[in-house]
This record gives sequence, C-alpha cells and structure tokens, in this order.
Amino acid sequence: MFAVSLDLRLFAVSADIQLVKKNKGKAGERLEKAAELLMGLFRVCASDNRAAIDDSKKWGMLNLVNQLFKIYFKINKLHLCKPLIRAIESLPIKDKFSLSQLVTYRFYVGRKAMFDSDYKSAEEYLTFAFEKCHKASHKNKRLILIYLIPVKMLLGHMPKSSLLRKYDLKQFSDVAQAVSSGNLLQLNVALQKHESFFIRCGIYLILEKLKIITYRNLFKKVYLINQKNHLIDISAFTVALHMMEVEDIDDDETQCILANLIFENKIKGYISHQHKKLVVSKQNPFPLLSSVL
Amino acid sequence: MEVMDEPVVDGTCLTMCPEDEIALRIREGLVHMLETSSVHLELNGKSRRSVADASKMVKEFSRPAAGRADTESHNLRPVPVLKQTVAYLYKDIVASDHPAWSTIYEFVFDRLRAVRQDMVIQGIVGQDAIQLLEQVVRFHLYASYRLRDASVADFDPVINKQHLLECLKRLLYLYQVTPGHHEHRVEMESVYLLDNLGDHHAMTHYLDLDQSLRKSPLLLQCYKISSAYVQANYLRVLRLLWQLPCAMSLCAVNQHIYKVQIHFLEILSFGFNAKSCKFPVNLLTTVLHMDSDKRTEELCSHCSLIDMFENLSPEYICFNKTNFRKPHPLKQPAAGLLILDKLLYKCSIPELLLGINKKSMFEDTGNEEWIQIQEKNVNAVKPQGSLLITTKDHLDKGDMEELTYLKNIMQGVTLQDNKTPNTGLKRYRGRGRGRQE
Repeated sequence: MFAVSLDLRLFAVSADIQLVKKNKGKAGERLEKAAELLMGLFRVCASDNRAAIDDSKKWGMLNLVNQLFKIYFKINKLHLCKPLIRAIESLPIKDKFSLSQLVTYRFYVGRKAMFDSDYKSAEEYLTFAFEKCHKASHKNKRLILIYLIPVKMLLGHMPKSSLLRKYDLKQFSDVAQAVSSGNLLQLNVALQKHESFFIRCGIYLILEKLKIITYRNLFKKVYLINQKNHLIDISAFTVALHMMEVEDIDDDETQCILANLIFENKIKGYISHQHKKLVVSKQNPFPLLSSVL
Repeated sequence: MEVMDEPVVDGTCLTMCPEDEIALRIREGLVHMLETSSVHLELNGKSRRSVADASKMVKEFSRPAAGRADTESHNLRPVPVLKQTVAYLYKDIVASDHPAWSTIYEFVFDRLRAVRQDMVIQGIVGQDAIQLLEQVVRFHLYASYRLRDASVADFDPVINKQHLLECLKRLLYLYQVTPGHHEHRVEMESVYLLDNLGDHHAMTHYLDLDQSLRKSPLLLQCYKISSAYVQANYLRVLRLLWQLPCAMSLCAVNQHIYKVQIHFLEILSFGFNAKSCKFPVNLLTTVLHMDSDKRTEELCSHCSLIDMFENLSPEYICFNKTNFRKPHPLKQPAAGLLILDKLLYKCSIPELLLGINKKSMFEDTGNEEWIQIQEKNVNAVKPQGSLLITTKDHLDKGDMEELTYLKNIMQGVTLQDNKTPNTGLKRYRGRGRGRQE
C-alpha cells in the first residue's frame, strides 16, 4: 500500500506538470484527485477498530498522512491538514510509528505551526525532526533547518555560522548577523538579496517579522550608548532609525514601535509623553529574548 | 471545478430574463418591486398601480436541482447579454433613488448571482469572465461599505464577504491563466490583500506575483500596509491607508480600520502606562486618525480608559494597561471614511462599479492636500506634536470651491431629518454630526 500510494502521488505530480504544459488543466487538479483517493485509503485504515492492535490497519495511517501532507503543502491547502493532525494525535499508538515516518510527520506539523504563528510548538516539532533525522540524509536535514532557523531566530536563538556553513545555508548568515546586531539596514539588504530564495521556501514573511527583534536590539544599543541612563530621548531612537535609512519615520512612529515592544515585554519601561522620553526599568530593561517569548 | 472537455452550452436568450421565466413569474406573482413600472389607470387619473414590466425583469437566481431546465440554451444568456444585464443593474437600479438601499442590494445581489451562474454553466472564461467578475466584486465591496451600519436582517456582512471572496479568488485565478494585460488586475490584487489584511495566504500570494506587478505603486503600498499590520506598527498602517488613492481598496479595508484603532490604543495603553501620564486628546485623535476629538473620547471610554461619569470632556488621557478593556462587541461604528466618501462623491457610482472611468477611481493629485485640510479642520486645536504633515498653504481654486461645497453639504445635512432616504448626501451625515466647528 505504501508503494502504491507513493507511486500515485508521484504519478499525479508528473501528470499535473504535463497537463499544465499542454495547457489543459488547472495546476494541482490531478494532485487533488490523488489526494481524494489517498483519503479513501486513510478512512479504511482509520476505521479499522476491530483488529488487535498488533495487526491493525491503523499502522498505515501515518504514512498516508505524510503523503497527504506533501500534496496539501504542494497545492497550498494547509487547512486540510488539521483533521489529519487531530486523527493522528488522538491515536494511542501515535509515538510508536517508525522513526522515519515520525520525522516526516513532525516536519510537516512543525511547518504548519510556523505558518499559524505558533512558534513554540513549531520549534518543538522541527527540533525533534532535526535531531532524529538520519545523519546521512544531509538534504533532509538542510530542508528542516530552512524552517527551524527562522523559528529559532524569532524565539531569540541565533544560528552559529559553523552550522550555516555545514548545511550551505549562508543566505541566513547575513540575516542572523543583522538581527543580532540590530542593523536594520543590513537586514533589509539581506532580505532583498535573497528574496527569491526566501519566497520560494515560503519563509519571507516569517523573516520579515524579525524586524521587531531587530528594533529591540537597535534600541538596546541606543540605550548602551547613552551610558545606560534610564531616561532616553525618543528622538535619539528616531535618529538611530534614520541612520538605518528608514527615512519616512518620525517621533510618533518611533513611539508606536516602542510601545509595541513594551507591549510584547521586550522592553521594560514606559514612555513619558510630557518629557518625550523613554523611561526604562533600572533592572534588566531589555530582558533576554528567549525568556520573554 | 473547471469543465474543460465536456461540451458546453451556448446561451441563446437575448433578453435579460428568459421568456419562460417572465411568463412564470408574472403568472405566479413573483415579480420584484424593482421590476415593475407604475402606470396611471385610465379610469381615474389619480390612482397609480405597479405593473410588471418585462423590459425591466432580470433572471432570478435559483439553485440548481435535478430535473430543472437550467442548462437549456434558451434559458441561458450569452456574454453580450450578461454584460448588458450587469450594466443595466448598475446604471438603472444601483443608482436609482430608493428609500431603502438594502432592497436594492438584495435585488442586485440575487441577479448578479444568476449572472455568475449563467457564466459557470456556459463555461465562460477569459477576458469576458474577468470583466464580469470584476464588476461583481466591485458591487460587493461597494455594498459592504454603503450598508456597513445596516442591521443583519438587511445586510449580512459574512455572506457578502463569502461571495466577494468566491468571485475574487476565481478572478485572481483567471488572471493567472489568461494571457494578456489586465487593466484592473492591480486594483483587484490590492483588494485581495487589504480585504484579508495581514493574512498569511494573501501576503504569500502577493509575493508569488510577477515582479512588475509587485512593484506597481498601489500594490506595493498595500503590501506595506499589510506588513506594517503584521509588525503591529499601527501608526504606519493608518498613515499609509489614508494615502490610498483607490476607492475599491478603501472599501475593502474599511472593515479593519476600527480593529486597528483598538489594537493601537491597547498598545499605547501599555507603552504609556504611567500614573502621571497625560496624553493630549487632540494628539491622540491625529495619531488614531479619528474624525474628531469627540469620537476619540468615545473610543477611549469604550476601552475603559476614561471614566465618563467623572470627567465629561477630558483634555488628556491617562493610559493605564490594567484599565484597558477591549470593547465588546467589536462592531465598527457607523461613521464612514471621509477620504473614501470624497472619492465616491467625485465619481459616478455606476461607472465606478463597471470599471469604465479609470480617472475617477485613481486620483493623481490633490488628494493629499485635501486630507491635510480635513485634519486641520477636524482638530480645531492644532496638536503640538510633529504628527501633522506640513500643510501647504496655497490651494487650487477648484479645490477650495469643492471644499466649501462639501462643507456646506455636511452642515446642511446635519440639520435634516435623520431618516432622509439615500440621496447622494446621506453619506456625509455621520461625519457632519461630530464636526461642530
């Protein structure tokens, strides 16, 4: 059954490519058809309640789910994944599937969590996939990293350059460096430069969210330059942003960004409107990112 | 979805409504009020009566069911007739004076649905389908704005949105597969982006577009708005929104503005959380892009930031994160968008909906200045903050005239009965009230 379903999916993929080439059908049409058939198989497996657990058809579920995930991610219908995840998570045998299947499953669930902005569980699933993925499958590990790195960065963990070098992911190194040094300009340049790569992987939007952290790091630098004075002029931050070539910004927008950082607990303090100053807490005004998220 | 290989039917019905249906509906008394003409009875000249008018009848939507003669060619309208039908609906019905616009909405919505049904049965694709769908999309957008304060019985925003998205998604797909240049593609893509503000799918869709499209000013701006929204930079969102030149994009985004303002207020309450905080109301009005200080106060009191019993018209707001409460329910107040009202006022609605006159949808100049004047008018006291964009003192004479004209309308309408039916001026009523200068 595994072989048949894999063949079916691959066959559908190539059928799709051919049909689109001949201008005969909508892209993804054949794949959708294939998914329908796989769903039929899935239902048979899932409803096998009578057989003893050892020879139950339920053992076939995860493989089918993985095949379906691959299709749904390809045709960009992620919402269809949800019932499948629920079906798997409610199985008593959910952790006893073969490791390779579990790795694939968690990779996709992690990616889905990432798109749903649930970074904590995305990190958890993707880390499992990365750590348990077979050593020899370099390509798969790299694939996992493409999603794990942005999630980690959003949670305040920057990747080591040795790791990026090992998996040939130098696209991330500029980004990571820019974020950790609060160099907004460099971040924008890096995002522009590798735009097509990031868009192709579907992580461009996630990386854009790093801007918030970059603001935090930039503002921390302003605070350090001010000799850690707990009163800082708003205009000082605006100047810093101007330096980063954010040209159309004024004090009010800076205040909005600051207020948002305070709202997200990334800065401890408050803005005093009368004095046009940011008042930061004397203890630990910029808490560690990994601790607040 | 697509029926490509099966032979498709070609409609032969050359009127807006098939003859069978006309006969049936007249016989069964199912003629809509808007499909009748009033005639003077010969007997006494005074009494009038509404009589079904076949030339005004438009094919009704009916669900496909087994055994129905849906697919017979004499019941289907070919492309030219469909276009004519839509044009008729917009020019003669949408633009007509009717005491309750929701009746018109209901009627047009149903008839447009029938148009779409005819399109699907006949398998119409390509430029024709694009043009028709664009027109349908615009109607749903316009209706969602015009009927924003109607009760759910008259106008269901959820259903409207559902149909809007259905058409829009189909439209975006057709753009992709139909070769050639699409004049209104940018407009429609921007609508998709703003209607789903901050939505991951919509933004990914934008990123997947062709470079040349992505770089078009309108679409780029819409993406910036979405991106700022995701990054919670709400001041930027509002500022960029207020510069949008396209009426349809504004209609699409209007539903989100209130939400943005509330979130913004929430963030401000956390950021400025201090006992001694004194944030001037007029500055807040400018930052939140509200119409008047009074509306700002209302919003703040909805969010429990002002105690209305203690302080009737405070000059300052004391932000406090523990006091902040999200208003419940999160329903947008009825007041409209002044910039949008102005755009809509300037152009003829049928032309806007049909997408005929491009110039009336996109304004090249003058818009920005107009907004600045508005801000100045609304805030009788000029805020000390740097928020106000430098106002240009010299204005075109035409602009000034128009402004005084609009102002007169606003003031005039305030005094009138609130139930005045939808004359073109009604749209300004909500605004007029808050602006006692």
